[in-house]
Amino acid sequence: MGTRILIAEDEPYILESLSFLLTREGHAVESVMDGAAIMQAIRLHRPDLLILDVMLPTTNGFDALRKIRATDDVRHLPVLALTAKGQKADRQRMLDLGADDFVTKPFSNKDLVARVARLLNGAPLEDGGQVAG
Amino acid sequence: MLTSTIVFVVAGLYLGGLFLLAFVTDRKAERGTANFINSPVVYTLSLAVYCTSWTFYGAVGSAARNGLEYLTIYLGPTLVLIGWWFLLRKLVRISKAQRITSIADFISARYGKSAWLSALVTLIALIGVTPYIALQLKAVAASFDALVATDELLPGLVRDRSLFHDTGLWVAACMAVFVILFGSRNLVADERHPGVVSAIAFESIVKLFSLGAIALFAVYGLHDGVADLFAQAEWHAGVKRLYGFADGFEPRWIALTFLSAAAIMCLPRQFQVTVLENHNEHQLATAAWLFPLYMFLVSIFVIPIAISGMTKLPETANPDLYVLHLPLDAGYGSLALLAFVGGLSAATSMVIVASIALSIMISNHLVTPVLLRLPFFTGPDRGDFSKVLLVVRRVSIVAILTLGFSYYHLTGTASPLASIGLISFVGVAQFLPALIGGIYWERGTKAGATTGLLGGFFLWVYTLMVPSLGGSGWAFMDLVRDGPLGIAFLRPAALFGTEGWDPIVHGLVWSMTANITLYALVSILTRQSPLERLQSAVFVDIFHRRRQRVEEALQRSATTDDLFQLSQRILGPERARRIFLDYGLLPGGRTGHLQTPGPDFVAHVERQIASSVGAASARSLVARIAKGEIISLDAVINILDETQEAIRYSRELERKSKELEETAAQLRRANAQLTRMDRLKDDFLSRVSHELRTPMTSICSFSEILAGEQVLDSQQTRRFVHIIQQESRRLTRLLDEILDLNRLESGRLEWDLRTVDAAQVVREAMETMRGLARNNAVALEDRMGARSLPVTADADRLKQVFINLLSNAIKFNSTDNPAAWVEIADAADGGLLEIRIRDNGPGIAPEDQARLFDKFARGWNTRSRRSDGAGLGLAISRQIMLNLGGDLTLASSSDKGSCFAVTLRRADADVPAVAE
Amino acid sequence: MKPDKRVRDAALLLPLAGLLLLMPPYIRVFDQPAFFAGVPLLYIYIFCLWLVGILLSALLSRTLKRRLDAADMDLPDGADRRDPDGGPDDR
Repeated sequence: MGTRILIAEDEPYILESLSFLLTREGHAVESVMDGAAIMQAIRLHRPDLLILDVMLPTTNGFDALRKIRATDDVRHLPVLALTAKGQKADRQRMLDLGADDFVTKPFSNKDLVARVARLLNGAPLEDGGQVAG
Repeated sequence: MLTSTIVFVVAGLYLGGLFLLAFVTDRKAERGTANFINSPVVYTLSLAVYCTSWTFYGAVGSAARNGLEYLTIYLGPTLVLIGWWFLLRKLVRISKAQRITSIADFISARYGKSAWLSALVTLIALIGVTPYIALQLKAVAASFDALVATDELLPGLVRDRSLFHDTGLWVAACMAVFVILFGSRNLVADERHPGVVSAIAFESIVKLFSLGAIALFAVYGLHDGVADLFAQAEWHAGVKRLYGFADGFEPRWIALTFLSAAAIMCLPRQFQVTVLENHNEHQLATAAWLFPLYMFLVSIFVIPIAISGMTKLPETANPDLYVLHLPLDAGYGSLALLAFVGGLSAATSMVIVASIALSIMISNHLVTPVLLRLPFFTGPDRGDFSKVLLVVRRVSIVAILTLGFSYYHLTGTASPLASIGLISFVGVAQFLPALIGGIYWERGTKAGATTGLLGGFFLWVYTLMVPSLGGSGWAFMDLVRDGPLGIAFLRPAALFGTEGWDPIVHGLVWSMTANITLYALVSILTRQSPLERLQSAVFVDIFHRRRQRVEEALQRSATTDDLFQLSQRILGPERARRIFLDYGLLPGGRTGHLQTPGPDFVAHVERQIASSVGAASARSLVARIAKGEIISLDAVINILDETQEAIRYSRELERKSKELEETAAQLRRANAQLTRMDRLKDDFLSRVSHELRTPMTSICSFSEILAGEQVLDSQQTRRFVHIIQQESRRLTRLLDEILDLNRLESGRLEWDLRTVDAAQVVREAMETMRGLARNNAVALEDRMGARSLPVTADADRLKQVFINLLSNAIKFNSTDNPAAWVEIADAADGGLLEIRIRDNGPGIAPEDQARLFDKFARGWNTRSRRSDGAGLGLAISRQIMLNLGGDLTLASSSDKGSCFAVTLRRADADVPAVAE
Repeated sequence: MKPDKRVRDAALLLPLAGLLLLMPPYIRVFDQPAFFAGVPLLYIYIFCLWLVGILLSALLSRTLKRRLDAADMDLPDGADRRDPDGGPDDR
């Protein structure tokens, strides 16, 4: 399909599973493991979607997201946030900060893949929650 | 050359000036512009009325005869004034609260507002003070004579002269006029006489100035300075005698100090100026040092005069008159005149104030009670009783001065001034037990005070007055010589066989013994009436009482009309109106107020009336119109107890509320701590949750992939299964660590403590780590040497610590030639040993060092793969070390490497308790 | 309350100490034939003691005056110390 996805995640196994899933769907996958390097990676790879783990070393996901939304040339990049916190408040915070959608760990593969697809087609869900189970 | 005319004129002018001063002051006071009267300095100067002609003339006389003894007269009051906070202040406070009008009123008010007691006190005062007044007149007459006599220096005997040539008479008459004019103009609310106060304050200045002038004359006029004065006295045996104490001086010294201390309170004139004319307690605070200073100066002035008198004047000269003779003989007539004026001031100020004080007492406590019994004076249309009171007052003044003059005229005694004064002192000292007991001892009863006073008075008369009258040939000569009915054992001057005692000491000892003993004994044996109990509580507790009106306990009611009538008659219509207006209680019920004023108002009116006629009379007057139940002693006690209860309760309350405050503060602190800990717990839990979810995510995801329909090749399958296994193990390990840490912290772990060789444990740990080290190409060295390090520890747990540390040293060493080694450091304390695990890795950033041992702290291993361990390792290790009685610290860290230090107590040293 | 108590104790101690020092046997101690510029030792003792007492009393009075002012807030039993004529004091 020619879509490129950038995954910002520092846990290698999670990165591996995400890679596998998305590659299977036909996307090209790039990865970055450090919050500070995200901007650089975005400019380098020019992805169509960013999957962002909020708990990253150096700069955490929130700050990285804020920075992205504040930078002109990358503002409109769709972002799917990965978080271990599932409370309503946290979800709200992600959305307020500019994430287009989010997924809590552990996630359902099907759900993740569906959300990625939707984001790539330009229509985020209203309620950022799990679709099924 | 001083002629009698000159002296008369000067004296007359001086007294005239006094009149003027008093007049002007009174006018200003009426208009409210005489605030200087309330200045502390004026107050202190008015206290100096204590220094009468006894001081002015007699102090020098006493010094010349008896050396330093004269000082006692001033040392006693000095002590009392210095201790004003406790004694005088209490007297002042009570007197204001109770609207006391005299010392007799004070004593009577304290002991149940007893009329008999106030009458007794008045009589004693009159008998005691009359000689003192006579003394003043004698001094004036003698000094006048000395001044105008041309050739001889008379030894002080008052020449027999006809009545109208007697200076004393003129002085007495003059004083009578003065006091009537300025001491009884109208019955003011509180017996304050600004005109009189300013006059006697002025006279105090004149006294001091004049005495000082003579003293200076003695030092610089008759000699060349102080040294010269003493040098010239060297040869004089008499003066030498004055330099020290005579043998056996002690009793008199002590007795006179005691007497003068008593006198400064008990003399009616002193009570008047100190307590009644007092405006506020700040005045007392100033007088506390200023008055002693005044007396200090007076005392110092006496010395050169006395010494010069003894050395320069002939042997036959009367020492009492040295003050006059010194300038006179040296030819300084005007200086002598100044001295005379000083003496005149001293005498007149005493007479004035004493007359006022005595007249108040006589009119309030002797005359008024009698008058009030006569129907003539108390019928409903008898008009203004206050006018009657005024007349009574004035007549008493004349009577007092007549009495004083008669005493002086009839007893032209040769006794030195001082001894007459001292007899007076002993007389008024009889008030002391009842007074002091009254303000400090609640148990003091009226019966006790009365018997004490009577006993003391009787003995005073017997031991002092009788011998003095006998000595002057007037009466009682047989009694003095042989004793009553011939019983020598009971002779007045040597009671109970006490021969050879100084008469003043003798009189004082016996009268005081009787007084105090009777007062104490009888008080203990008698009960107090309700009113007595009330009053004693009010008096003794005056400093602690708040707005409580204990007298309200006395249920009394009277109609407004009756009260108003009474007030009008005693206080005059103006004052009565004002009082009632202030309360909105105009008679006739015009304002529709209560016809029956409350008991507190009745008490208020009674107090106002008391300021005119004394507490006892006021009480009887009001009692007549106020219908009251005789309140039972029980009820009073109940009320008093309630008051005590209330006081105790409020103190309890204070204490409790303080406790509460402390508890609240403690609670706040505890709460803050709990909140903090709560937050920490939240933190911890959320971190744990995060840590657990991470491996869970991989497990779920890969499981889902494996369970999916899509086919995977076997390599991928194997890989994914492997990952699931890995992460499952990680999860388990994590859970174990968390539980471990929890148990460590809560102390619920079981320890297997034995003496082990720490070096051996380290080596075992290193063995375990060899594989890992090899895999990571890290060189692992043992640099501990061959020593054995016995410690008391759980071997497995200790090994766990070392494994953790070694593992970190291996895994996080990203340099080119990674190496780790273990060595032993010399611990500063001989009982501790320190094992160091070092590496040459990149070190730990300073900002991460602080949180190194925190749970889940991970900032420092950014470049590592966190595939195992969740950051709890160091936290657990540290906790283990703490529980073993040691510690784990980061000894140092730089880019050359890190060093972790494990500290343990040697087993051969004293082992501290290990956590159970 | 501590400075309070101390002042109160000082106010009590001063006159008592003065009393003690002025009584035999203490005062006897200074009854020696010693002279300073012709003035006997005893005189010097008594008058110096007196003067010191006056000074201390003055110092004490300053402090106590402040206490009086502070305590003015709660006057006991109707006594209006400042006002000689008093007003209605049943309040």
